[in-house]
Amino acid sequence: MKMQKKVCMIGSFAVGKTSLVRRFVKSMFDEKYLTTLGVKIDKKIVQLDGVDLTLMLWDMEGQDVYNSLKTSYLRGASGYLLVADGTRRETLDEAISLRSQVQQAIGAVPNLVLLNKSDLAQSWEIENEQLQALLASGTVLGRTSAKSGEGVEWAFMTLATRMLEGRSDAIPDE
Amino acid sequence: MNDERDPDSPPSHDSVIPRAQDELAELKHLLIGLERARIEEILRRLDDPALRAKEISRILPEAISYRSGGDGKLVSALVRTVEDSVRLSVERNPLTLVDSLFPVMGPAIRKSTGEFIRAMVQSLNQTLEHSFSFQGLKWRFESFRTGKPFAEVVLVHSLVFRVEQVFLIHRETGLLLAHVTEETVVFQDADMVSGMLTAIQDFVRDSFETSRFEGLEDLRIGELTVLVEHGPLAYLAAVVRGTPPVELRTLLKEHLEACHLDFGRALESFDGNAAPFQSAENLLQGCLKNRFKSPRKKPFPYVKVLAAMLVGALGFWAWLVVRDGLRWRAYLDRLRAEKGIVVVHSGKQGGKRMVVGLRDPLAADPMSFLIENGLDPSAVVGKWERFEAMDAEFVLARAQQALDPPDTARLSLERGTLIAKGEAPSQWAADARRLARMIPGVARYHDEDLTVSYETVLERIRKQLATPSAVMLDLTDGVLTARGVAPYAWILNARTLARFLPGVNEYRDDALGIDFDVALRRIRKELAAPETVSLKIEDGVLVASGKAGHHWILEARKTAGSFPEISGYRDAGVVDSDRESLQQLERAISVTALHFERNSTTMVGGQEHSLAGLVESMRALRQLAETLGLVFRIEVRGHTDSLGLERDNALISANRANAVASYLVSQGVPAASLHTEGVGSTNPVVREVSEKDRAMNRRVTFSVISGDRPAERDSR
Repeated sequence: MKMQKKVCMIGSFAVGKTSLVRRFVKSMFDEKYLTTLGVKIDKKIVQLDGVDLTLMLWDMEGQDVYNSLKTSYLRGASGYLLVADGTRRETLDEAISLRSQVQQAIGAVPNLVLLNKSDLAQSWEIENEQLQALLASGTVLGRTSAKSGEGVEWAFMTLATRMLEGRSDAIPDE
Repeated sequence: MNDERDPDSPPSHDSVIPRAQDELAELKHLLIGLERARIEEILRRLDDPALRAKEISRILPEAISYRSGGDGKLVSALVRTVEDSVRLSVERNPLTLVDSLFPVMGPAIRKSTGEFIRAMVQSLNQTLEHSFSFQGLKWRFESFRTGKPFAEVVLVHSLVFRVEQVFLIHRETGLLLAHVTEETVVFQDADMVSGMLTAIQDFVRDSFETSRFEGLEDLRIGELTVLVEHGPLAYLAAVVRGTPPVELRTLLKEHLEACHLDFGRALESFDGNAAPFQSAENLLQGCLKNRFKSPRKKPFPYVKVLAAMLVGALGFWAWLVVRDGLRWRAYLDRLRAEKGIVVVHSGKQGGKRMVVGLRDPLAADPMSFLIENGLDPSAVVGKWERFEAMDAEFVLARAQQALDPPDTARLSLERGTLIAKGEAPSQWAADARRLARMIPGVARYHDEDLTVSYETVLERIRKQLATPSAVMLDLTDGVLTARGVAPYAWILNARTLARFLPGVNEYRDDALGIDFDVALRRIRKELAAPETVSLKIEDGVLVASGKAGHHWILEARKTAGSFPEISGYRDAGVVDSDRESLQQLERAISVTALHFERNSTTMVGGQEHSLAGLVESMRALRQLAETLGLVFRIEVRGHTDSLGLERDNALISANRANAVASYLVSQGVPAASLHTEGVGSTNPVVREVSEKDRAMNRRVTFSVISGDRPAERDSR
C-alpha cells in the first residue's frame, strides 16, 4: 500500500532542521550554514510495515521573535519534528512554546522533540531536570546529530510509525 | 424428511425415562422442537462439504461482483491464483489460450503497428517540413544559439499551447492525489512539485492576506504557465507550454468539479492514501489538450507549378525570339558597315535566315561575324557573289597579294596609282611592272622611286648563309650545290639552313671539303697547345709534334677525340719535356760524388755547394716524378780507399752512406726513397797510386732508379 504524509520541521533559527532533512534524505552533511527562507520541500520514501510511505518534508524557516510561525504551512501536516539546538538551551524552550502554537493551529498530531547537534557534547547546555519534566509530560524526546547521523533515522522512522498508528500525541496544557 | 426423523427419536428415549421426563421432553419439543430441528439442519449443512460448496457456488458470482465494487483486495488475492492458472493452462495445452486470444491478437497487433507507422509518418513529415525550409534553418540556428534541442525549438514555434502535466492536489495537505503527463514530457518529481505549489500558494496567501479559497491562479516560468484551479477540497494545477486559451480554464474548472463530485468523500477523509484517486487519472487525461499552429496544408500545387513552368517557358521562348531578332539586326548592320561586303537582300528561307550579297575575297568572312554576334551559323544561309571592291585598302591588299613584294619594297596606293618604293630585285621589278596594271582597281603603276637591285637568287642565298669565300654555290633546278672548303661549323649550319631557303629543294655538299686551316686554328685554341707544339692535319688525322709538358700531352690525347673535323690523333712526335727534365736530373744526381776525410764520416770541406745542389735536384726529382706518375729510388752508396782492412772499410763506407742519407732526410728528402749501401773499396773510381787518388775514392755516390707507379699505371 502506498501512503503519503506531510511532515513539518519546526524549530528556532539555526538549530539544524535543514541539515536533519538533508542527512535523512541524502545521507549528507555540510558544515556550511544556509538560512532557509519560507519553506523547502523534500521527499523520502520509507518502508514501514508493508507500507510505502512517502514523507513530504516541509522544512520551514527558523522561528524567532522576529519571525513568527507561519501556520499556513502547517496545514495538513500529519506530524512534525520540533528541533532544538542542544548547545543553546533557549532553543528547547522555544521548541516547547512552538509546539503549543502548532497544536493550536492543526490540533494534536504525532510529534517529536529533537535535541540536535549531539556531536558537540562539550558545549551541551540541556539540563536533566528539564528533560525529565518533558519526558514526564509524555513528550517523545530524541537526541540527534545531523553531522554524525546519530538518531536521525530513528527520529523520522519513529514519527512515521506514530503517524501511521494515528497517535494523537496531545500534549498536556502547560 | 427431517421432520419425520425427529419424532422417531424421542420414543426410543421414552422407554428408559420416567413419565415426568416424557412431559418435559414433550414441553421441550413443543417449545424448541422447531428451532432444534432447524439448528440440526444448519449443522448438517455446515458439516456436509459437498452441500456447502453447492450452496456457496450459488452466491459466489454475486459475492465477487459485490466485492469488486468495494476495494481491490479481491483482485490482489486472486492475482496469484489467476497467474498460476494461466501458467498451468499454457503448460498443459498452449493451444487453448492461443485459440482464445487469437481474435484479440490481430486487432491488437494492427493497432500497435498502425500507431507506430502513424507516429513515424508524422515525425517524418515534421522533419521534412522543418528541415528543408528557411524556417527550419532559422530554428536550427536558434537551437545552436540557445543550446536547446532542435525538437524543443520546433515545439516552441509550432505550438500554440500544450497541457503537459496536470496535478490533482489535496488542498489541506498539499499531497499529490493524481498526476497525468503528456507522453513525451520529462517531468520532475510530481510529489515535490505539488508540495512546492502548495507552499507557494500558502506563501502568497500569507503575504497578501487573501481568503483561504483564493490563491494564485497562474504562474509563469518562461514558456511554461501553471494554471491553478481552486476547489474546496482539492485543486488542479495544469502545466501548460505556450499560451493557454481562456477555454482551458473552463475545462480545468469542469474537471475539478467532476473530481469533487466523484471523489468528494475520499477527499474529505484523505489520510495520505492516494489509491482511491487512481481512477481520477483517467478523468484528468481529458485536460491534456494541445493545439499546434495549423500548418497551412496545401495540396502540392501541381497546376500552379505547371502553369508557372509554362509561363516561364513561353517567356523564355519569347525572349529568345526577341534576342535573336536583335542580334540578326545587329549582324546585318555590321555587314553593311563592313568594307568589301554589299548586302543585297536579307530574309528567311525554309525556316532559316538568309542573307544575299556581294563579297570581295579579301573582305572579312561574313559567317565569322555570326558567332561573334551570338547567332547560330547553322541557322543562317549566306549567298555571296564574288566581286572586286574598289576601296583603296582592298586594291592595295589585292596588289600585295598579287605581287608579293620582297621585304625591302613597299607598295602604296594613291588615287588609283600603285606606287612601289624601296629596293627590289630586277626580276621582281620587271614582273611587277607587267602585272600591276592587271590588278582590278589599279589604274597606273609607278616605280620610279624603286631601287632595282640585280642580285640573283643565288646571291641572296649566299648572303643568307653567310657563305665563306672559299665556297662556291650553284643552284640548278632547285638543287643547291656547295663546293670548295669551309669551316666544319659552316658546313653543318648550311646543311640545316639550306632546307629553309626559298627556291632550294635539295642541298648537296659532297664536293665541299673542310677548311683545315680554320679547323686547326680552332683545335689549337681548344687544346691550348703551347708554342713548342706544332699541329697539322694529314689525311684527316691531327698530328702533333714538338715538345710539351706531360700533363698537356695527356689532356690533348683525351680532348682530341672530340673534334668532329678529324678522324684521329697522333702525338709520337711530341717530346715529353717533363720526362726530359727528369732524365737530366737523374744524370746530375748520379754524377755527383761527395768526398770524405780518411777513416771518417766527416766530409771534406768546400763541398757545401754540391750538397745544396744535390738536395735541390732531389726535390725537383720528387716533384717531376709526381707529375709523371713515377716512383723513384735513390741508391746512396758509400766508398773507401783501399787502405786498411776491407771489413773496416765496409763499415766506414756504410756509415758514410748513412750519414749522407740522414742529412738528406733532414733536408726534406723522403727517407723511403733513399737506399743506403756500403761497398768498401770494391768500386774505386781511380786506381790508387797517390794519396790524391785515395782521396778521390773516399766518397759517396748516387744513382736514381725510377719506374711507373705499379698500381696507378692504368689511370695515368
